[in-house]
Amino acid sequence: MMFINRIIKGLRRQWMIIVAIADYDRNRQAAGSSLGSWESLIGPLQMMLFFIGMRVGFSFLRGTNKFAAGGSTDMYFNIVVFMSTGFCIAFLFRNVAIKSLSGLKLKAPLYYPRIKPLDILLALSLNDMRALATLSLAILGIVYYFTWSFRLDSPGLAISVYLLTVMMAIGFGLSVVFLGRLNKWLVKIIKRLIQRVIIFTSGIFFATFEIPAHLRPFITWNPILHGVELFRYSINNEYPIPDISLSYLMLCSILMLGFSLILYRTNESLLLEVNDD
Amino acid sequence: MTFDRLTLRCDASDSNIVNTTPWNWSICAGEKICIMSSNSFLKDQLMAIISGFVHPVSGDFEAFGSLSWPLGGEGGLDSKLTIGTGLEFLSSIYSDCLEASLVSVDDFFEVLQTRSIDSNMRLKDLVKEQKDFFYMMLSILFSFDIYIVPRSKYLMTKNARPLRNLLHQQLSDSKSLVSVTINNRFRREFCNRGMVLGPRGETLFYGDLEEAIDYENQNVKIDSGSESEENQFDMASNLTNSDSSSDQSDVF
Repeated sequence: MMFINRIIKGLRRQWMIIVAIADYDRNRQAAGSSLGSWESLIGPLQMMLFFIGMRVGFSFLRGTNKFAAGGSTDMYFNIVVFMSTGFCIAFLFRNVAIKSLSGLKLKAPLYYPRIKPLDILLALSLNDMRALATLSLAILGIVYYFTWSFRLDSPGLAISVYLLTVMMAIGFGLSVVFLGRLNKWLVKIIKRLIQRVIIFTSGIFFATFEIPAHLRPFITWNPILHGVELFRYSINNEYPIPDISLSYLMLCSILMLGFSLILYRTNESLLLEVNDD
Repeated sequence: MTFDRLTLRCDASDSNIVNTTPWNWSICAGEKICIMSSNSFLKDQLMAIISGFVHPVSGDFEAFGSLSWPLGGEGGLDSKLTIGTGLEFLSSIYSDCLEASLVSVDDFFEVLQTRSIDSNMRLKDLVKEQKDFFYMMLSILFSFDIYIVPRSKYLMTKNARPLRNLLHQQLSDSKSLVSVTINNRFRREFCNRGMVLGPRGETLFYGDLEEAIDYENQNVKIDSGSESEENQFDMASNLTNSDSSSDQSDVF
């Protein structure tokens, strides 16, 4: 019983530390921006609107067809809902991974012995998760309000997929944070490569069923695509998801997180980056 | 606090030079010890290892109970934050130490008011003297089991007299303190034990503070650089936040 109490106390303390660092980061961003506390929401919002605008714009340029503005996906989703579901999953992963790849930029709190690099990474991920979840819920709410067509067929699946993506993002972020110490040009190349792979193979713009069957293996290796498609499926169970599996997403998330925690445990000191001299 | 077969670097120019015999000693509760040595790099390494800024070359260091950050150290908080936000942040991290503290938050702000510092001021707007005063007061506000004091220059000034009184209030019999300061006034006021180390980390003397100071005066050759060593320990300069917008602007 004593042992369990100690674990609970330790976890509670760690959670408090993570939340405190998350607040610290938001406060310092707010202090350095003319937008104040809205800075953390405005950044992702403008990017999300840009993507939605681009997708809708291309559809209109293509002209009227039987599938309407959103293409064949419009049979199952409003195009704004379709895009925002893709965005909130893929960009959650992208933000955590890309931030980590640049190394630990928020270093000052490490001055306090109770704060470890892992706490900082988790706190930054928590801020990204909060911002993107708030935006997605707001956009879904606005769309449902105007179309009066509320639908969420499998809320349990939606939550599970979201949390699995968070786990995978943290795992990936922790694995690549050590690359931040490499040559800055190499890091830049890796960063750009990952950005393009995430944006163009994660199903933000398209649905898997729209891709010809023989081409699907070129994108279905990407676990983020599985997260995005399963999230859409959880909203509308009629949405077809060929070659998409929850077990693949689970396997990738658990393996990624497990591997990254081992890597972190053995290399934590590298993240302190304090010069011995 | 225990050192288990611990080896650390003893020479700034050569990372292969470590202490001759691995350290196997501990500091008990209530012990307020001053480490003395002619090797200031060794002392800085010791402080950095205890503070968690660097890892030892080999062996382990373990602290039982709550461990302070370097007393009065100007690190950890972003200069854009206000005093109130910074305190809120630390109160969440060290909530248990604040609850156990004999100095209240009201006392904290009252003392800061004497230097015209209020909770809405941003850290970067403080002048040097205000900064020194604030960071020292912030370290004293929390009640730790083990205090780390790498330097005591500011604490022993006339301006910091109220801070010394508060530190005395916090340092009850069961609290420990580890210091490497060369200031004898601080040593006599706050420490009760002394340890004299040789240039390669060998223990030359360990015992009563006054005897340790006498031993140091008679046997340890103070090098010319020691005069300025009070200013040397500054690991916080390596732990600064970097602001970069490249992550957000670089969408594609």
